[in-house]
Amino acid sequence: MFRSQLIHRVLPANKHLLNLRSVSSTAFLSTSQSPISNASVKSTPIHSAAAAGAGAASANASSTIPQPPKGSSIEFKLSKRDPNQFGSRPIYLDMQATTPTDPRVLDKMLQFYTGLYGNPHSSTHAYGWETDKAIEEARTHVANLIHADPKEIIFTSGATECNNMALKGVARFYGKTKKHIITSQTEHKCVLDSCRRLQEEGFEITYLPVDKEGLINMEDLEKAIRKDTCLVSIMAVNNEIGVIQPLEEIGKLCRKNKVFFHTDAAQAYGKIPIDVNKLHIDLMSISSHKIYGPMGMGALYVRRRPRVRIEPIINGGGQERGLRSGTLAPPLVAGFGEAARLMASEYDADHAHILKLANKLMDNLLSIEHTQLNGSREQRFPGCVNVSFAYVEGESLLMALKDVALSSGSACTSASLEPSYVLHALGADDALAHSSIRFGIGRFTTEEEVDYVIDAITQRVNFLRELSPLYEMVKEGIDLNSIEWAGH
Amino acid sequence: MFRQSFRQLVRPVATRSLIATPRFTFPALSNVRFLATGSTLTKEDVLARSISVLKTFDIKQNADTITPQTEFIKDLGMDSLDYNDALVALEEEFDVVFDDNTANEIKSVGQTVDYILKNYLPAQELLDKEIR
Amino acid sequence: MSSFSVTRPQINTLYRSFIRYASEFEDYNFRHYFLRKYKTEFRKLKEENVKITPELWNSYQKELDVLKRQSAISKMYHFDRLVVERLDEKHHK
Repeated sequence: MFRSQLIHRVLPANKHLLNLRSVSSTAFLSTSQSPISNASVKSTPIHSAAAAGAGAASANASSTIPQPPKGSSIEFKLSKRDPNQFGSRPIYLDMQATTPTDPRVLDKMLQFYTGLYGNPHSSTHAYGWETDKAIEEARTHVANLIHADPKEIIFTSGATECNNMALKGVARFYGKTKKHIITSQTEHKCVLDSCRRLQEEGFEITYLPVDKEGLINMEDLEKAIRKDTCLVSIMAVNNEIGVIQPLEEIGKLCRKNKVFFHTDAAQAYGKIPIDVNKLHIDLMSISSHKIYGPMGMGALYVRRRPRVRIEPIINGGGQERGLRSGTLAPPLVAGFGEAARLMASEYDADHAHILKLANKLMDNLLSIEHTQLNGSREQRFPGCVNVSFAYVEGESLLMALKDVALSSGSACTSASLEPSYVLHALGADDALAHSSIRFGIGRFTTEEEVDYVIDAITQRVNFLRELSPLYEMVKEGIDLNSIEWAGH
Repeated sequence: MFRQSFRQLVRPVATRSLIATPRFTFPALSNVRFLATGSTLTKEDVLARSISVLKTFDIKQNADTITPQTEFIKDLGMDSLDYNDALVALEEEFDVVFDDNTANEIKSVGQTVDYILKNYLPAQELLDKEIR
Repeated sequence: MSSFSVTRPQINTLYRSFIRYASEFEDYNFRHYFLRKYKTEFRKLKEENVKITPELWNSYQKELDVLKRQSAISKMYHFDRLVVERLDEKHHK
């Protein structure tokens, strides 16, 4: 719906008559203030002209795929292929949001839904013992991947709970004497929101800025550490741009200053080598569904030597060393364990495959004019490629791409149509942030899919740019910065 | 092996997460298959379709010159892994399964053609038997 | 265990079974993944002339069982084919 508004605004593209505010970067934010209602857009003849101009076929009525809002999509025929001979389900390229469950993981889990149904905390009979054994095996697999001791793994419902538990848990336990926490501006929403909550409880939070590569500055961190700092929380791999923070240096600095180091490794666990001892990590959040495991499952690594104490958020029967009460879910735990085991055994093959596909995708997308890679080129997890396509509005590109499942940023914030705060922190303006798309490549992505996506994106970026009066001006050599935008 | 016919049954009504009856898992049905000899394929059909399958592989010889005497390893330059890939591809094409002994002993394209002719069951007959 | 040995036909049969079950996955991505995985692995075993230990043999048998079950499950749930999948395509490749 947002996209159709854009088309409506852009299409009467006589640039002399153009209401410049409507295509200025701030307008991208202002859907609610838009004078054009959705209804009027749908009935606008200009819009149907746009659809016809795009050579759009009407949506396939028999398709079972949920359709984007009516009138908001542009369909393209790739010249090389007849769409009637191909399926209609989109290619999945949103691996940072979640990953498909590996069939080998499901195979492990099914045992627990078909026969092994004992409560793992029942210590009086065999049903309990067998699931308890399976849970301890899973714990070992989860620990091995980061060179931790199985006793240091606390199973939770996911990375969000882990981040809450680490931040609030440490802060509340040590809060009488230590009232200061350091984090960064590009953390996941759940870290930032936990910090906001702690601020209300009287803690002081330092939000470190990042450079244009998306990395924090070690000097900033060193300066920010105070006598009453209890925790530094810096994510390992960023969920939007894939950059890897200098974990080892941060770990060393924290250890030297006797400050606990927590890292949100939801996007990093199993995908980059992590040794909690070498990196001096004290707490680490892990998510299962980012490593082809089941959703609703995660783990918090909590160091035992030197011991990290945390105040539990969930109290009860004292499971998980009293840090996280509640009956464990053996199917989820075992599936998570199997997923972790596979991340280790498939590491080399996965890494080589993802690197190859990501490089191909990145090279081809960046060969389109006026594009740029967001975040560091070197310090990155290759499976997350975030590219800005200048003079194209990211959401409209996504809407035009019914055949590829992509996101412009985090799944938690993409519904709001706000530009990414992560890209803002890198110094991107609204326009750039709005023109960014994140491509996630994983174990199950094929080269054929990547080739398709390269074609589809290239074609649609060119098409949307043809509609853009801004791009027309750029082609005519007008410096956009020299234009005075008229306000309402 | 029943996939093709099974799919024909299910596809037209398949929606996004339709749970289909796992009919193809009945072991008895696969026995029926091996007993049947009512093939309506000719030797020429099988050879031609086999060649079009082999074309998708990286082979040494021009696919159009393949004859029943052509040997997978000696003439087409396949190794044991390529040969097995080709065999599974042929299994899919004709909905047959090569038993292990045959599969490990076959050398020439003609031998696969003969095996397929002997074991092939046309989809329609298969359906009839399944329904009965 | 020193008497343990695996013949070439046994390895061929094992490989063929992996390829067969892998290509039976309805899901495009899983099918291609497992084909790629086992083709690469067996190519490596062959080229590096890796000795098949009883442990390796047994673990392959277990993996084969998993693949057998999971390819069957994959056939019980139907989803539309992907935009890169030909509707008339046979699974091999």
